[in-house]
This record gives sequence, C-alpha cells and structure tokens, in this order.
Amino acid sequence: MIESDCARAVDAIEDLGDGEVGRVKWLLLKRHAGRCRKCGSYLNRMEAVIQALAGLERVTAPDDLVEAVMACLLSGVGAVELHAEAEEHSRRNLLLVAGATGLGVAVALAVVRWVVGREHEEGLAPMGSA
Amino acid sequence: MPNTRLSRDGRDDARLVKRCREGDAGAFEDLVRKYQDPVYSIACRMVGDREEARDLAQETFVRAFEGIDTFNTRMSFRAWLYRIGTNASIDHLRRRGRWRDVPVEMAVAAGDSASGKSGYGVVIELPGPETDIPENISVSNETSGFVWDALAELPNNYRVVIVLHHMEGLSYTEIGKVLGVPRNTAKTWGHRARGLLCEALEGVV
Repeated sequence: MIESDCARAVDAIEDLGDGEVGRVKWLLLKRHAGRCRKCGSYLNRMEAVIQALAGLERVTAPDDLVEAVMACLLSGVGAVELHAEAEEHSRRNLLLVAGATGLGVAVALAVVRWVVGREHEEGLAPMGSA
Repeated sequence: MPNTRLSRDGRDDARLVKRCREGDAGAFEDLVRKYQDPVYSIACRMVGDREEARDLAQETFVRAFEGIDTFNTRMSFRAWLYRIGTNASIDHLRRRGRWRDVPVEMAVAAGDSASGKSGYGVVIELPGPETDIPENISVSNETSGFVWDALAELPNNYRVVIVLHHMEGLSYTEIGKVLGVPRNTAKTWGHRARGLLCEALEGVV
C-alpha cells in the first residue's frame, strides 16, 4: 500500500515539471511527502530543479546577426539562389518573347507563301486555259 | 491554399516563405529578424559558448534558406527552423566533443554583473561589497549552479528537450515535431532529464 503511494507520488513529482499536477493531486502529494522522507526529499529536489529551470530565458542575439546572415546569403550561396530565381524569371520572359517572335515570323512567312502561291497560280491559269 | 491548422503566426510565416521562394530576399530577412533570438538562445544553451552559438545561428538560417523549397508550408516553420538549429548544434557538439569546461554562459561577465544577470538569464541578486548576503539567496544560487552544471552534462537529446520546453515553452507535441520523435518519447526524455537533474542535487537539497 505504502509502495503504491510512493509510486503514485513519484509519478506526480515527475509530472510537476510539465505543469500537469492538479490541485487535488498536489494536496495528496504534499500529504504523502510529509510522511515519507524519500518522496519528500525527491519533491524538494524537483521543486529546486523546476525553480532553476524557470530561470531559463532567451538570450538576445548579437546586434549584427541579421546583417551577417543576409550578407552571407547575398555574397554566397544565397546570392546564387536569388540570382538563379531572377535568371529564371528573365529566361522565362526571353522564351516568351522568342516564342511570340517566332510565331509572328512563321505566320508572316505563311501569308507571304500563300500570296505568292496564289499569284503564281493566277499567272499560270491563263497559260493552261490557252 | 492557406492551412487553417496553422496558427495566425504560422500562416504569417508561410506567407513570408512563399515570398521568399519567389525571390524576395526581404521576406527572408523578416524571418531572420523574427527568429534570431530563439535560434541563437537554443544554440547558446546547447553549446555553452556565445561565439559558437552565433556561428551556429548563422549556419541555421543559411541552411534554412538553402532548403526553403523543401519546406512544407502546411507545417510549422518555427518547428522546421528549430529542427535545423538543434541538428546544427548537436552535429557541432559531436564534432567538438562535450560542453565547454567553463562555459561562457555560466560565467557572470563583468558587463553582465552590473545588471545582475547571468548568461543563463537567471536574475542573481549579486551583492554589493557592503551588502550582507542573505542565506536563502546564497543557497538558491548555489542550487541553481548545480542544476546548470548538471544540465550541461545531460545527453544532447535530453538537454534539447529541457531547453525547448522550459525556455521556449514548446509542448511535447511540438518538441516531438522538432526532434522527429513521437510526443511520448519527447515527454519521456523530459522526465528523465529532470530526474537526472534531481540526482545531481542529492545531498545539496
């Protein structure tokens, strides 16, 4: 019975750090820890650990970190990727212009060919009929 | 298509990532500004050296930029970034060995002592020469010192859980995503870590 109380107390003590111990569980734990020296000692140490960990705060990054990162990206690998992105855009635009130009030239050639062919046919027709 | 499972903050990040992918360097700079403190802090807590932490934070952001196309915008950018950061720190520790013997973070530098703030961000009531040291504050600082020393000696996976949970306030589910392990594994590591810290206090408290 006592051992199972201790096991429950240990579980509750371990949950303390997660903030998952409700009021009732906490009161039961305190009562058990008051009677059981081993669990009482464990609870004291856990409370001290949690208190110390509560002091873990963020450290402010150095003032020049952002500039250093961006400089690194723009001068090195990052720049390559940003340029690659820009090049991809201009390449796409060039392809569009080239495609449109090619299409225009092809249409113009087809029209010229059609007109010439027609003139040729008209020119040949009288000869054939004669 | 925006992901409604992400928080508003997460959706803001996803928008910045999208702009970044379109070649907007300013968007990535915004992400660096937003996450520079946590990324640097995690590195500091992991390696215990400010200069190395600075290099690791820089490496983290460069790696993030290089891999931005592989990031799934339906996931949390923060978790993804922290994963890169913790991996960078752990890789660094494997190469270098353990924590510095006398971590810079532990020392109260002359500049910091005026504010009474240690490298760990713990406000320590540093007494002036004419001030009596209250017994309880002295004991508390001594206890904290034992905890910090023990924290530095924890296995990397245990330490990172403690840092992410107690400093960054991440849930075990989020920590699991950062470390690529199930939530219960992260929780077990957290419990074992605190158990080891308690062991370090045996005979002290």
